[in-house]
Amino acid sequence: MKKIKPYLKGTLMVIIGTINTIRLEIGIGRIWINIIFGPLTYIFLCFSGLIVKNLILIQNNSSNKNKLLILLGIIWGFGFGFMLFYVLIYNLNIFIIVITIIIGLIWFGLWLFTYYYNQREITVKLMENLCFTFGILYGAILDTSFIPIFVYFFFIIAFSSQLSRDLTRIRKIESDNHPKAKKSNNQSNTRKYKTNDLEQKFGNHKILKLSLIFQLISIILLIFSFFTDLYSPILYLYPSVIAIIFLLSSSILSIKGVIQDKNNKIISKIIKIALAFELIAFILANF
Amino acid sequence: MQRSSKSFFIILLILIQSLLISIPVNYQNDEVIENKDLKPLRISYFRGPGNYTKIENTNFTYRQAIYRNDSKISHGFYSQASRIYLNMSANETNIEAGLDRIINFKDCQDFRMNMICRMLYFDRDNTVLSSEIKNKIEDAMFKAKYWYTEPSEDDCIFWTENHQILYHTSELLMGQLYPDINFTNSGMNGTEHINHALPMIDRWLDWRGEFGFSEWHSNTYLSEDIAALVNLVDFCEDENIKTRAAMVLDLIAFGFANQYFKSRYATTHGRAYDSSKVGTSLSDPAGRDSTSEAAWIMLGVGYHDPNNRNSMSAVSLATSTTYSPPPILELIAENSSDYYEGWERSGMKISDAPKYDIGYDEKFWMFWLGMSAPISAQTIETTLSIQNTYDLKGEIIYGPEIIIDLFKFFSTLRGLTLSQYCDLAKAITQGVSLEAPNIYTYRTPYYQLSGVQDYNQKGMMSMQKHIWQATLDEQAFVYTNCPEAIGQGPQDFMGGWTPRSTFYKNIGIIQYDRNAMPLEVELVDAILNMFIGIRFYTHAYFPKWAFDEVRQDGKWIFGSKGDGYIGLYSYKTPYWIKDYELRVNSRKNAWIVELGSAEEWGSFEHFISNISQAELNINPLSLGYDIHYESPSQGKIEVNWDSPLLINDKTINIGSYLRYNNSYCYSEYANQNITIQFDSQILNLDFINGNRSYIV
Repeated sequence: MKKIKPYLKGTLMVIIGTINTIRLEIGIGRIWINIIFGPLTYIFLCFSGLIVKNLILIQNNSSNKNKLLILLGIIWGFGFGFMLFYVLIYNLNIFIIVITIIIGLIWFGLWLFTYYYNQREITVKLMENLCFTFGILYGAILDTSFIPIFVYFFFIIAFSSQLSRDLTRIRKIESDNHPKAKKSNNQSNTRKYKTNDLEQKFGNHKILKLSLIFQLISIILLIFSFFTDLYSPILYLYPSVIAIIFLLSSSILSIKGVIQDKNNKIISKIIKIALAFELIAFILANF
Repeated sequence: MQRSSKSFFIILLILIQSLLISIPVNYQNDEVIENKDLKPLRISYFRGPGNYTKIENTNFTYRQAIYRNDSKISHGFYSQASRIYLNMSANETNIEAGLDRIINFKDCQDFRMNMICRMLYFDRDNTVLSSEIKNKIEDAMFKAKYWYTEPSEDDCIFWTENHQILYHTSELLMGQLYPDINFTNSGMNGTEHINHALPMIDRWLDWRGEFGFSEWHSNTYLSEDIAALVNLVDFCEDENIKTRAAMVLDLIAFGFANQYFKSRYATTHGRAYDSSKVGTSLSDPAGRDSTSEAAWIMLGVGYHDPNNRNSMSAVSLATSTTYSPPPILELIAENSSDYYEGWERSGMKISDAPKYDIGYDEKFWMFWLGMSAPISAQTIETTLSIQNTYDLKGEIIYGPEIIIDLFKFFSTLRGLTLSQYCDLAKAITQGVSLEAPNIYTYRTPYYQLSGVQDYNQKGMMSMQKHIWQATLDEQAFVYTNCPEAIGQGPQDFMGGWTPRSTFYKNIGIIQYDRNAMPLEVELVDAILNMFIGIRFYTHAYFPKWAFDEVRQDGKWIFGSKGDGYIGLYSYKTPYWIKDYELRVNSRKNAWIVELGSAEEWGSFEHFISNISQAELNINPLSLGYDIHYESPSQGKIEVNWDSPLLINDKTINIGSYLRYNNSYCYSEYANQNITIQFDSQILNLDFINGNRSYIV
């Protein structure tokens, strides 16, 4: 469930994206169609992303590779076909087809990037991030091709916040051989170890700096969004202010971590809370 | 050719009549009436048991007598006025029972109050009422509440357009009858009541003269207006008011002449009820319009039902010795009965008010309430202020008070003023109001198509509006609707979500769709639907039982009645849920209606085959549809939710219309000088100077 969560979260973003453009002379009939079919098609696109992620992770294991490739083709193709069907039946915006193709190209591009540069950790994180945050653009495009600027801002805010969190997130991994792995009481062979895999690769300093930059991008765009053509700017203000406060706290901790060259475990959790309030802000912005 | 020969025949009759001094006419030996000079003689219809009976040579006076003679045998409350007029003893028990509403300040007490006034005025000359009942009447009327500003708690709606004139009229007439008596509820004497009522009557008549009725063509409430106006004509001591009241009656009659078809007020209505628009079977047909008897008396349109003896408006007209509609109106009704095409506008758009020196403050509050616009963005603050000042119940102004409480809460949450929030929720706050419709009507001998053209409230919610109707017969009529949980009732077929409707001659294109409201309002709507009944559909009223034949060809439903044909198309596949109801499970849909006749198409089969094979292309858009229809009768038709209506690439005028634009009257909107002309006869209604002149 944990592995598919980012992909399911993407469907929520599709609904948020749809809500954010319903004020642009979109009829109630069209809205309901998009709210029902949009997430359904997006789920298939997300699952195809999950397949790509697994392809990336098992790159050297060729026996499963072909099976995954076929599965990828089926799931993405089904998603594309389903989307094509409802675009034609309901005479929807042709740009939806274009964006679905673009998603496919992005998955392919990321796989190619990993194939040549072997940056699996970064690619996987980008993939999960995009599956989650791209939903808001997809949802917006379902309604109209004239997407307001704040929808792009929301996408960047969600992407930056999620990425800044991923950069600092500590994970529990199972490892038999890692010297720091603690022996579990119940299982003699399995050892659990808490790590930030990017920190291992790039160093704490770099990771925190990068995370700080993305947090600041989120803060700036949260503020800028208030001055765009939101339908309910005051309703947007309440949760976005809270999100900004949390992001400022995590930024301060990140700066502290950079100065002291120490990873603060709380940063990721604070950004997670900020992200939740950002989503509430996105929903209320055009409520 | 057909029309001009008919006109010639009618004029010839008038000339013959004018040579005679008077001809006494006996009717059932009950009353001798004289034909007045220069009144036209028309064929009129009298409905006996089972069928129509034709009575030759009736006119207004004659029809008055017919109605009086039927009305006098009724025990109904209103019909007692006929008995008193005829110097016959009245059913005093029923009169006393009718006082109950007045004594207890119940809604619609003003209907009774007006008829009581009529009875009292007749009784001045005839002294029919016993002193006992007269004392009871006077007691009730002295204690009555004539306006919301007077003391006593009540359940009365004073402020709809018809209630306003009813209350003002009864207040004026009672004041005139008892100028020196102290009315116990108000603490004012009769003269003070006169001084209170007169300016408001004056203002109400001004508004009708300038803008027409907000409750446009209401088949229910024009009946009440007629009763009040006839009272004014008969009994008001102010000549200017009398004359202008008569002029408004003339305009009502003109409306009947233009819109009545096959005994049906076959047009769009600002306020209507399911009872007169829905019939489930031959044994349970749609009820008659409340205006039917009045229209028959005034113009001879439709028919008289002797069982309908207790109509307030009909009794008033039948017992009036002062008012008679100018003969030109009856001639127009006769002349236009076969062919008619007309464009008209009545009422006002809320946003247009400043152009006509109408404000949104307390001074004009009654104007807005007459339009059912108490909670529009422009009027909400005034409404709440007045509600507070006079401690009025919110339920009788705008509905459950929780609505305003919720609006206040959400407006605070959104950082908006209440007025700004009402603008945000205008689908409801503006939608319930009776803004000016552009009405288009097209008639042939076989059918009539009438509706609101491109209403500015498309996609908004309405309470009781009836937007369009295609009529082949008194019971064979068709229309569509998208019902809603929020509404008065709510009703199944009246009110609901307003479509974008566009009409040209025998063709109508009706699209249902709407923008999303603020999501909390959508949530309330969804919850209400769960309680009242899920209403996520559009439907058509198409009473199979009323037609000679009904056939379905794919998404086209065809019906024939006599020599008239109708085809109704639904973009989404409809299904019969009842013998009179076609339903589509979606609030977004497009309907196309095309009418025809044996004269144009020959057989019904030929009509069906041509229409069903016509090229039709409908593409759903974000809002509404893009419709391209190759009508076999009119050619290429193109329209969508916002675009102009194009017929063969020519743009059709879908508004804003003049006040009247038809063969008989060309009058600018908000023009208080209206001239109606037919051949050499001219009726001029000058509301500014209070002149009503009729030239033959």
